Amino acid sequence: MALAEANPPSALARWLAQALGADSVRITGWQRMSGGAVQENHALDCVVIVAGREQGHRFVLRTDAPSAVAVSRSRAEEFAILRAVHAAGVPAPRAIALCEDEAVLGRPFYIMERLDGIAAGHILVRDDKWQGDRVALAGQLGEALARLHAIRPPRSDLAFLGAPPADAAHAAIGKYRAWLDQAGLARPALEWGLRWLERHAPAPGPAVLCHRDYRTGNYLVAGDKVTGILDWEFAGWSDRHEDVGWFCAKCWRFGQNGREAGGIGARKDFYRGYAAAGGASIDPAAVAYWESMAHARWAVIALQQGERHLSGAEPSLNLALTGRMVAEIELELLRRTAPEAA
Amino acid sequence: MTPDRPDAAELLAIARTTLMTEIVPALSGEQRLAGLMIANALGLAGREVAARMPPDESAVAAEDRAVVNSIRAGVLDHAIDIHDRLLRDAEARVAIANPKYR
Repeated sequence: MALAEANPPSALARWLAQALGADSVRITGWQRMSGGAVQENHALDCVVIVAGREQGHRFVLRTDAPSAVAVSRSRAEEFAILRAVHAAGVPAPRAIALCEDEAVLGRPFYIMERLDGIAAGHILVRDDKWQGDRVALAGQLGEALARLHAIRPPRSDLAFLGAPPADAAHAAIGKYRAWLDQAGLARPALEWGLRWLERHAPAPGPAVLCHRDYRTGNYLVAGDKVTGILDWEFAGWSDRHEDVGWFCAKCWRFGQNGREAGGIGARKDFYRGYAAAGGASIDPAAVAYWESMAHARWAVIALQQGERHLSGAEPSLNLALTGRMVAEIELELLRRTAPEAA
Repeated sequence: MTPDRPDAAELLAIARTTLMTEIVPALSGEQRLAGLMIANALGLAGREVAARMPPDESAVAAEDRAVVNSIRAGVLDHAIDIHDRLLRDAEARVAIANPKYR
């Protein structure tokens, strides 16, 4: 049963009133939003009554899907990350209140503000409405990333992220190989790429807070403004070039290969925004390396999504078709990793 | 070729399931009839493809496993011929999965 039907709105309204310090809260709209296989987002419209005054609020309620896989961060951890990045000046939804008491909705959840804008990557990269503002958008996305990367370990509020990896690249390669072995998959093309990445890893940079899924499709644009960066469930300490490479990688340009910054704008405008907001210098060779790593990582994720369908755990045409994207991702990885002469 | 999955029969099966659970219930009249015929065709094609598939791909799997082991051991780091072969294999798989990919 869906969350809204299974739970009387009164329990949520009572909890909200307490969390917001209000006399009472009236829920006027509660609807599941699209997207999110691992987490559920619900659009929540409320009237909040404080000292007899009514004010309308638009929230997002985020919770685990009933069949949640324990791979991503918990809602409580995501809440702490949102608080931290918002305080650092990253455009992101303001996290308002966390509820770990399962008596309210049966699962932990948190409430954040609902921002305007669209996130759909295939629309953002094609719609000519954005054509004139691409310089500004790419710049804002660079600025947002630099502000995020200004968050450095150690941080007691982010202690759950664990110790920063000494070498993010080699740690990733080891993780991907271990998963391939555990899944019993022999993928020569992907393994070629992983070996190349193992041999060409640049010296690791200082650890910073990385989003680790910073790409077109995961931020909201309204007008000519980036209103918020979304989907923080993979955030962790890493090399800043990982986020830059993931954002620019060909596999996340939604077919607009000429616009190297996420299919949305020019790489130079993205980098200019990054530098303007105080970001450390970007090493083009390190970004190129992490763009290759992005294809290796995306190949592993696509294989995992295909396996989720094949195992019978979650039969889904979408997951099945994502599984077949592995071929083009492997092709791109091979193109990027030609052997040098012996 | 390194086998990519879900394979043709598996894709036809999930396409048919999705059609029957998410599309056909919303159809009526002539369209419903067309939807059911598409489902029939997908089922038939799936069985035919499955019947034609080579029964044993273990030779390919063993070869892929051996290449993987050599790659990890570092003995193929400069093997331009292996890289070429993997490129051609990936191109052939992309020609099936997404022929418009550049």
